[in-house]
Amino acid sequence: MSAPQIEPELLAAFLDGAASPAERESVLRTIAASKDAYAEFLEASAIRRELEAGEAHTAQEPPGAEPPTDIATRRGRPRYLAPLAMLAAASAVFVVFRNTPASDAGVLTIAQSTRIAGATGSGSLSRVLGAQWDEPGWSVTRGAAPTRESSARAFRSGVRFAQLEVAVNASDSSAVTSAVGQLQELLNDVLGSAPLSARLDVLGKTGAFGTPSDRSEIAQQLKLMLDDEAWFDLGVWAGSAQLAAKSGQDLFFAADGVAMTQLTQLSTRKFEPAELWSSVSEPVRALAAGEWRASGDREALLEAIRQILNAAAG
Amino acid sequence: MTAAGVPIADPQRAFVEHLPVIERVISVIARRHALSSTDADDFGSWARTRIIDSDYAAFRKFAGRSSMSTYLSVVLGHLFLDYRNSVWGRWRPSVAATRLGPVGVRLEGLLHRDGYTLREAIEVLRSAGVEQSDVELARMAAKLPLRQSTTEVPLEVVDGTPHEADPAGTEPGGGEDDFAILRSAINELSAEDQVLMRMRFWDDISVADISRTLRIDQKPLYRRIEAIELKLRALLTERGVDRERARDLLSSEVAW
Repeated sequence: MSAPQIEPELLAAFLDGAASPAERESVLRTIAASKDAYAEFLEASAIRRELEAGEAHTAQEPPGAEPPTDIATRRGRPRYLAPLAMLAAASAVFVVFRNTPASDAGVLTIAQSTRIAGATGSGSLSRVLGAQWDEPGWSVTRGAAPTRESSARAFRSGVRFAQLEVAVNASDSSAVTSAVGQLQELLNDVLGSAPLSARLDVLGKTGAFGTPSDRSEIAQQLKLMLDDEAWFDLGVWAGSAQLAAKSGQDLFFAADGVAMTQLTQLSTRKFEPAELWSSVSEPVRALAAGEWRASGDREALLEAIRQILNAAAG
Repeated sequence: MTAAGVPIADPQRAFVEHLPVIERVISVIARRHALSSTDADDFGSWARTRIIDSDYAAFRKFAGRSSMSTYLSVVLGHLFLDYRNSVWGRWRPSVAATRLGPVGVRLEGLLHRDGYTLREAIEVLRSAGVEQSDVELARMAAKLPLRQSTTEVPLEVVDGTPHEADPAGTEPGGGEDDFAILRSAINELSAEDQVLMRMRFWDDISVADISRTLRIDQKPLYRRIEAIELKLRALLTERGVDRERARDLLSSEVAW
C-alpha cells in the first residue's frame, strides 16, 4: 500500500475545519505542490460532500418514507397486501427487497437482496425484528442430529444461510456470528466439512463478510458438501421469506414477483426422499397459490411459511 | 467517537462498529467512479482486507481530531486510488479523461484499456448507475484521445499522474517554454490560490463546493478567482506571453 501524502487524520481535520492555521497552510502547500496529494484531497473531499448530501437527503425524508423503489414497486402494489404495508408502516420497519429479473436471480440472490430497513450495525436485527428474529420455529434437536435425513440438514442450512445473508446486509456482526455458529453446528458431523467451517469462521470473526460472490461460492460448497441442492435452496427461500414476512415486507410476496416465481420453479424440482416432499409439497403449493391472502393478514402468511419450515426441517 | 487525542482502545471492535460507515463510503466511491457491482464488491472486500491485514492500523492511529466519517473518507479514498493503481497496473488515464471526471476516466478505461465498444461501455456505465445520457457519454468518448487498447508508460515515470503523452493533453502549438513560464507564474500564487484555481478551472468544481471544502466565504470567492486569473494573465504578459496565448494557456489541459 502506498503511503498517503498527507497524514490521513490531518487531512480529515483540514476537511472538517479542525486543523490549526499552521496545519491548514501546510496541507494547502502540500496539495498545491503534489499531484498525488491533490488527488487524495480531491477524492476525500468529494466523498465527504456526497456523504453530507446523502445525510441531508435522508434527513429531509419524512418518517416512514418508502425505501428506493424498484420495478416491482412501480408496477403497483397489490391491494390485498395493504394490511401488511400498514403493519410495516406502523412499526417503521421496511425491508428493501430488490426485485431482480428472474433470469439472473438464483434463490440465493433473493436472500442477498433482502434488506431490513432500519437494521444497521451490530445487534440491529434483534432490535428491529425482536430477539427471536432468527428463530425459525422448528425443533432445536429434530433434523440436526447425525442420524436424521440429509435433506433436513440441507434445508436447515439453507434457512441459516438466508439469515446470514440478511445479517450481512444489515452489517450486523453479532447476527452474522450467530448464523455462522448455527451453520457450523449443522456441519459438525459432516465428513470433510472442517475447511468450509473454517471459511465460515472467517466471516463470523473478522467482520469482513466477503463479497456476495464469495458467499455464493461458500453456499455452493455447502450444497456440494450436504449433497442436497434442492432442499438447501428451498431452505434459503423459506428463510428469506420468513424474515420478509416478519418485517411486513410486501414486495417479496407479490404474485408476479421474483420470489414467488422462484418458489413455483423450486416446487418443480426433484426433492428426495419422496415421503418427505409429500408432506412439504402441500404447504409449498398453498403458499405459492396465495391461499393465505384470503385472510389478508400477516399471521396467515407467517403460518403458511411456518408449515413449510416445520415439515421440511425433519 | 473517541475524545481528541485519546487513541482507540480496541481497534478491531471500532472497525466492526464502523462497518456501516465503511460500507457507506465504499458505496459513495463505487457510485462516484461508476464501478460495476462486481468491481464495487471487489474493491470493498479488498479495502476491508487491507484494513484488517494492517492490524486495524487506520483505527489505531485515529486520535479523534476529525469526525470518523471524514477520516474514513480520507482512508478509503486513499485505498481506492491504491486499488485502482493495482488493478490498472501501468495503464494511466489521459489528461482529457481526468478532466472529464471519474466517469470520463472509467469510460476511457472501458474503451481503451479493456477494449469495449462504445455501445458496450455505455451499457456497463448505465448498469453502474451513471446518470449521463447515451449522447452525453458519446460526446465524452469523442473528447478522449485515440489510444492503443493498452497504453503503458515506462515504469520510471509511473507516479500516479494522468498520462499526458496524447494529443488532447497538449495544447496545439503549445511550446514547452510557454508551459514552463505558466508554471512559474502559478508558483507565484499562494498555496491556497493555486488549490482553488486548480479546483475551479481544472476539475470544474463549483464555487459553492470549493467554498464548503476550503471553508472560504462563497460571496467574495467569485471575485477572488477572477482576480487570480487576471493576476496570472498579467504575470504571463510580463514574461512575454501575449494576451491571447495567455488565455489559451490558462484554459489548457496541462496548465495545472
